[in-house]
Amino acid sequence: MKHGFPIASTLIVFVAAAYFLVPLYATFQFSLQMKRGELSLASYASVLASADFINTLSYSAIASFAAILFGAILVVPTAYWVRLKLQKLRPAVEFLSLLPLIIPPVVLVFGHIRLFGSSSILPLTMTSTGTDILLIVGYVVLSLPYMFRAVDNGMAAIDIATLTEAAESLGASRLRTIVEIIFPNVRSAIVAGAFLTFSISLGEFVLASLLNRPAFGPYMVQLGEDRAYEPAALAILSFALTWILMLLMQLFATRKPNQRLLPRFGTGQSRKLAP
Amino acid sequence: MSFLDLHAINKSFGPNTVVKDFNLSLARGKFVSFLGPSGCGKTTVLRIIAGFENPSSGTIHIDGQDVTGLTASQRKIGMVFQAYALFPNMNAAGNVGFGLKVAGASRDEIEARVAEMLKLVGLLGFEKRFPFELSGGQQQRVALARAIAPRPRMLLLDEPLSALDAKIRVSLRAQIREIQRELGITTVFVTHDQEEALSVSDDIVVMHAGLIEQHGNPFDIYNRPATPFVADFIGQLNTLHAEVAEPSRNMVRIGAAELNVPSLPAIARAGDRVALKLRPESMRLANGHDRGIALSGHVAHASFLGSVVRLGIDLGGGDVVKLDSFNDRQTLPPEVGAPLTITFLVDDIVSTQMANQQRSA
Repeated sequence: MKHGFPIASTLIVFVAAAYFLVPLYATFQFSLQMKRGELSLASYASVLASADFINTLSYSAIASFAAILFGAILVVPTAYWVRLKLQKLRPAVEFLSLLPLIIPPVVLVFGHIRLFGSSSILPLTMTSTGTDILLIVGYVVLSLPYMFRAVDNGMAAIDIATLTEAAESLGASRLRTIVEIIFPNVRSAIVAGAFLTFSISLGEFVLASLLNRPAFGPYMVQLGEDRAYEPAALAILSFALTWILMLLMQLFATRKPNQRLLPRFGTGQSRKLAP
Repeated sequence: MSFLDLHAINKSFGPNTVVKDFNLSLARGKFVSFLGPSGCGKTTVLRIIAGFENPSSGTIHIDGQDVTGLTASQRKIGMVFQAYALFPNMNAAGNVGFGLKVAGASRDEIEARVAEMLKLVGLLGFEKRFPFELSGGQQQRVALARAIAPRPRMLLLDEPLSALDAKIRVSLRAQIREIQRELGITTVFVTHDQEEALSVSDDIVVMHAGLIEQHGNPFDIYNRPATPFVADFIGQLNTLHAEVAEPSRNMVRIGAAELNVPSLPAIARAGDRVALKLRPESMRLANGHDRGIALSGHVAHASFLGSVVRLGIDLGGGDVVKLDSFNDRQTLPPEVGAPLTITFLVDDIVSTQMANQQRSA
């Protein structure tokens, strides 16, 4: 059967691409116009030379890594246990994991401030470290839908119930099974969840701003209020960083055990299955 | 003294009782198959032995030790799963050596045992291969090597051949049996494939609806089924309808022929319809030198299966029986509609049931 050229779908792709790419291109072009009458990378140089840029980016990166670590510690055993022993609770846990998509971050942060404010029995907002902890916990909550979904899908792909039984029949304890069998086999899923967490947390504004933390999100907003060309450069840098993370996520998430990150060039050899 | 003792095992999931008063004793070194249709409870019993399920009541003893309260990791039982269950993050050597590593064996000991086990299953040289680099048959052989590497007290095989293609299934089951004999390890094999069970087992436990229908060696299970279910479930059966002539003398009538059957149901009365069950291979085409009962009919259908020719013979009265004969290069299979006479011996009747039971069996 002969198919004609898919005009309608091609048009939709072009319109959708233009919707995303034209503003991006406009921002990029604007970021190059800091010097009158010529195109230059002066706005990028200005952003990268700023100590605030480095400090806020480092702060957000550290907070994001902490959120990834706590998120993985919380989500992996939970998803494992729910799949293994509490199948009936899965819909409830899935619903809970999706709540951060429904409840706005501003509600979450005001909840934090009320619960852990100066008049509470655990006044975390009274110290810098305490507020950092609240920010990290907030990031864990915000990234929960992505982290849980990624890890749960990873577990669905490997039949954890049978692997657990196989490990137990070989004498392994439950902890050993999680550490040596389950964790390495959902590593790709955790990495995928981790990159999503990182890209969400890195530029997050509401929690960081209302908790008054020196994070990258509030810095970007502040810069947007004070300068003209640097915010455009910052937006492009931020996009580039996010895309690099997405690319890394794709590479890690689809990697098999023992597989190289990049294909080996030149040998042309591959192992084949015996009959 | 028996090696494995299951005493009064019951297992319920909510209101459903899937294993009912299950009692079984197995001698050391035996290869025993649990055979039955899907949902008969065979896998549940296996999982109870392994420690993955707790019985609702009853006890399990292995080599004299009560293991009912022990976890799966404490029982020292090797298990091979239908879906292989190899650890995807470990290569073949890592998989086979995992149980030994857990047991605290030294690196040298693990390496030597892994090589020994992979040699045993014919996969020496495959140490570095990951599961995704192995075929289904190879994965299951690695799974077998992994299960027996830590020298378990017994081996459980949960439909290990079901996911494999027919040719590999036949060769692997022979290999499993050979290895079991070599190691002398007591083995329980769960299958719904009767040919598999008949070909490799010392003993077969036929299960139905959570109960043991019959426990015996393959020859007895096939030739002397204890219940109508076993007779129908194992192998193929032909049904010949007959009328009870004299219940006291076990006499029945098929057309004009009267025959004295080995037994009749206790409730049979003169004039009742009964179903006589015979294996297809018990019936012969008449050749002029026959003994026993002769019945005439015509060929309803004929299938050439290579080494075997399978005929469907219509004997009238709704009875179409199957008859298998070996292929003979000099003789063409009979044409559909050709008249034929079949013969059989009364002693070959496997069971006699009331005609209405046959429908439900």
